[in-house]
Amino acid sequence: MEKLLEMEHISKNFPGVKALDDINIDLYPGEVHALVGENGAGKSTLMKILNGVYQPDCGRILVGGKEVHISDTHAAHKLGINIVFQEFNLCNAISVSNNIFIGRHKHNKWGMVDDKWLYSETKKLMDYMRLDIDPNTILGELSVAEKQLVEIAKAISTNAKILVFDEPTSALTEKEIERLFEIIKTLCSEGCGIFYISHRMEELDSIADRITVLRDGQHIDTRNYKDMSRDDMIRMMVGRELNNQYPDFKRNIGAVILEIDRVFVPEQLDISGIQVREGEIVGFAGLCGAGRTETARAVFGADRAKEIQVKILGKPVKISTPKDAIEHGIGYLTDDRKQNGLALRLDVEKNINMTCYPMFLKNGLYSQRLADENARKYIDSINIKTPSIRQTVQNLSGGNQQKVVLSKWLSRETQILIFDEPTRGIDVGAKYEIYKLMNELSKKRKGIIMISSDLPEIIGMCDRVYVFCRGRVTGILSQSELSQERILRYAAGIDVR
Amino acid sequence: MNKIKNSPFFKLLSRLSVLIILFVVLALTTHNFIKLSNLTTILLQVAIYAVIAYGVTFVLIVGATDLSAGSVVGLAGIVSALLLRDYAVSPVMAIIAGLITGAVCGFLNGVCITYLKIIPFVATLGTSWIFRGVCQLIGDGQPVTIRSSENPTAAEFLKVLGSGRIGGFPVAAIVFIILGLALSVILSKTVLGRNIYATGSNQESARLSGINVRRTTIYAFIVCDVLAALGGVLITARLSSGQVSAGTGYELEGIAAAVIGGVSLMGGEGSIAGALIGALIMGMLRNGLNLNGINSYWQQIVIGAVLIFAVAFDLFQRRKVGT
Amino acid sequence: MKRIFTLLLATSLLIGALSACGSSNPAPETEPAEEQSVQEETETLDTDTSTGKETIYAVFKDASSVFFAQMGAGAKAAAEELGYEIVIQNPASEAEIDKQISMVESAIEAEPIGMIVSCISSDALINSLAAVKEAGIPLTCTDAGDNEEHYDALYMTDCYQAAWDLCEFTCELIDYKGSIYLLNAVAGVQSCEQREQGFRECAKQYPEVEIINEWQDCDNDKTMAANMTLDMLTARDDDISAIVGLNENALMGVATAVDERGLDGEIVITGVDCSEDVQAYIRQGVINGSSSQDPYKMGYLAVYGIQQILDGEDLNHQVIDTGCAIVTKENIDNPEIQAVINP
Repeated sequence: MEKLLEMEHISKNFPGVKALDDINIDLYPGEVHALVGENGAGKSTLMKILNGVYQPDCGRILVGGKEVHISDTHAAHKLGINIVFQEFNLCNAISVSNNIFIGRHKHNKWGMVDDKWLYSETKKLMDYMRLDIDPNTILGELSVAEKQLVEIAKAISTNAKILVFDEPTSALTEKEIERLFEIIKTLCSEGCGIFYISHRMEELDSIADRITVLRDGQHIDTRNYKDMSRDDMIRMMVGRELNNQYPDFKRNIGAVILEIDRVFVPEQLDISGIQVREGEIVGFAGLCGAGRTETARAVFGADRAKEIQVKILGKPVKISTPKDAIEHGIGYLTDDRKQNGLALRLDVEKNINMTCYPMFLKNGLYSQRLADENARKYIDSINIKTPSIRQTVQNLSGGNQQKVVLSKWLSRETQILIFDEPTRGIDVGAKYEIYKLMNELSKKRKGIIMISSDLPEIIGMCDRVYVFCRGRVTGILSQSELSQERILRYAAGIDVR
Repeated sequence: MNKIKNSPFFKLLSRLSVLIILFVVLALTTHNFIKLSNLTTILLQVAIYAVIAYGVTFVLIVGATDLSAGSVVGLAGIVSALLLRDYAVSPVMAIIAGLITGAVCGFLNGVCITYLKIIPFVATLGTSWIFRGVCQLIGDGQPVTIRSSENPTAAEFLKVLGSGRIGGFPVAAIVFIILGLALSVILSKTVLGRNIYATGSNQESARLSGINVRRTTIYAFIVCDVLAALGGVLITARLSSGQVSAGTGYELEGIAAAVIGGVSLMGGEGSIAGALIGALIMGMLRNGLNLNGINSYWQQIVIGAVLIFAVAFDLFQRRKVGT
Repeated sequence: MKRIFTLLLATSLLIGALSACGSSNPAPETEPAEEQSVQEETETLDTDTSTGKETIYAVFKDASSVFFAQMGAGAKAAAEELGYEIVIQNPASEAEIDKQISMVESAIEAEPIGMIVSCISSDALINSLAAVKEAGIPLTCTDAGDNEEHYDALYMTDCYQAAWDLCEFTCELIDYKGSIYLLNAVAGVQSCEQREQGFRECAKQYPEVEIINEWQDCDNDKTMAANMTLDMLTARDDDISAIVGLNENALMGVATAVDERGLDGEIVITGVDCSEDVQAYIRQGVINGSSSQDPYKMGYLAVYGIQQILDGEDLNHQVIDTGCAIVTKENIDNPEIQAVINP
């Protein structure tokens, strides 16, 4: 069978970083080729070269046996290559249909865009993907999960033969993931080849035919998927044995520190009766849009709620701005670090210290030395990989960016920390580190809320779980009661307490 | 190497080298450019624009624009002139009154933007007309001249401030140099300064980190308009009279100087030193063109070209590093 | 925060009080002694004819100009004598030609008994003035008319001639030899262009007199005029025989610069316009002489011109030169001169 794609001896250097070192990889029609590796291993870079975003320093690419030069994304599309990136490439201000067919509009005889065609084609696509989204909806109004599905629809609609999915399911729920896999199977049967980049092992189990492992820019191995054991995979990715995916914990749970008695937003949220104790990790589970992030933001003072009653250490508190929340010892790690968790164009030090600039005043003036000391403390203790303390945060990998966000909140004395999707888009090694950190924080008697769409993660880390569905808490489960099926039932609203 | 290329320090260095190259070229080609009296004269000429550029820098870094700065220049100039001429106020008090006028204008701008949530471009466009209108109303369409025959102390004070020299070095230049140092310290070594950078870089992220972005924005506008007011006072001092039309278009001069000096229009980046270098580049260019007797229209063309080049150069640098 | 808020609120009230004082405190040299319900606006239109008097509408060139303020004063005085109301409007600056056109067109709607216009641009205002005549409104122009002569009468200084006379005066002061720096005010304005022409043509007569620059203007900004003068002095090692500022802003900028430099007395300074500030410099000896037009007379005669038309006279597009005088330290206190510069 002729190969769809071959990438031979691909190398790529960035200033100070050797991103890819002599990589060889190929793709057959009808196969799902999983690409795994820690963040910074080079997967995204390799795919960006395929998509024409970067040019390789050396090596060549063959499509259908013929050597090609992919100078830009347009050229890639012409060759039948399309990528769904981890970071969305969509415009929030225009409609779904325009986003999907951007640059490919059909014109009517007057030279104007054929809106009818646009609408019907988009609707066909939405139906195919079983999405209940009107093509004229403005993209900015959709949830993160819906945007991800639109991004996938866009790639599919180009009739590309070589597709790359980079973490396509990070915001999706079980049902949506199932549908995606069905679509992938269909595409493969039509002769497409698919690169699938993901950190979710369970998903790969369902669809991967072959698997390639990259580590630190180097090709480690390529095998048939069934010939690769989980332990082997992880060992190759991180170069070390990982016994447990989740660190052991023995929690010392104390008194109640946070009580969310009521959060009410008409038509959106009707929450009551949530408690978090010292040393406890409480999970907020549920489908996207169920109200978990909204509740957290309301408690943190980031958004207004019509009615809100919160008690800390038994005393009612009034929190109207994030500053109030911080002063009461609450910290909030947002679910979208690039959007609102970090100032991308500022450096590491300025980001780590953002919650506590006043702490570094010496004689009335800001002491750069004290600030740097504090930043270095976290760079060392939680292992943030950065060439320097003045490195612009934009240039760090996803996992390291998340660590910077975490440091921001560790810099501040907090009693309650809310982690919103803390391990989204982060490799296995870094995930483990973050779980360990969360455990250490709980040992320090902090109360932790973990919002996550990753069920194994919830089950692996939490003492108790509140399950949200459509703005309400439908289930409360203790450690022993936790199972994927139970959580899912409450999340879908099948069971309600 | 490229990470250094993108750092604020390198950016500043590249601006400084442009300034030095310009200086050398003018020194070699233009008669009398390098004379000490000409160089100090450039400092005098640049003083007003530099002060306004400082103010504009604060607002640009916080992520907004202030199109009303020019009108504040006029308003503050008229206010202090009127107090000196008609109300026999002491010169120091008159200047303070002018600065307070600026502070009020800055406060109003800040409130419109943070509480009424009007975008800065539109809000300050509106206030630019309002402030200019108030200025024309109280100035009654006439220059307000302070004559040494009527107010000798005031006239003398103004003369010293506006065009006086100490050992050949203009007083106005001393003002803007010391001011530059002080403002640099505020931007880099105070919590307010840090908050300004954070707010300009990502306002939502700053807010969720507990920074009071409303207050920070309002402070930035107050600083900007107080500095614009100081510019107005300096003009009044130099001409010994308040002009109703003073400062027209000066906000754009300020923005141009800041941008040439490396302040980013997107917020979160830039420095006072950069604004100063930008103002000096513009001042030297003007001076050089004047000394060579070149038509005034060419000056505008040249400055426009320099502005475009400065921004393009920055974007080009950024693209090379792949950010 | 609260403290600052209170302080700033108090100051805003202070500014408000000051502006109230400011507007009721008229500039000393332009208000006639008698009280008449005369309105002086910069932008808005007021069609108040509640006193029952007939109204004349005047649209001049520049709200912040002393020259046009004096013109307004003359017009007001004449209107008062004749028992008419008068509404005077100015765009914010001489650059706003389109604003002036709008003002003229709005004025037509107010159905005045007569209109006075000072055209910023003699080409751009042609259509508007044609419209005025079509509406049957008596029209006089001051300082500059339109190129198709739609006005019934034009009261102006011959700018070309005035500049010529100024040049003669200046050249005499430098003994007909030396260098002259000629600084104009605004590009594209007819009076400025005519002055430039007149001066240069006159200077051609004297081969030993050299005008050292091509057209330079200060964009009507005094500060810019001062800076440009300083630079020109530097370029020529302070060796310039005379510097001429062709309107009040240019002239005051030039004088300020020369004064700053300490060269007053060594360089001849002449120019156009004779505001209070210029007069002060003339007395001090910094400015050797300035050509004063008679804007007051222009405004005054323009109103009487309207009366003549209403009485049935045919003024036949005549152009009346209201004359100009060169004001110097010697003649500044003469009564005829005083009548012109301090009406």
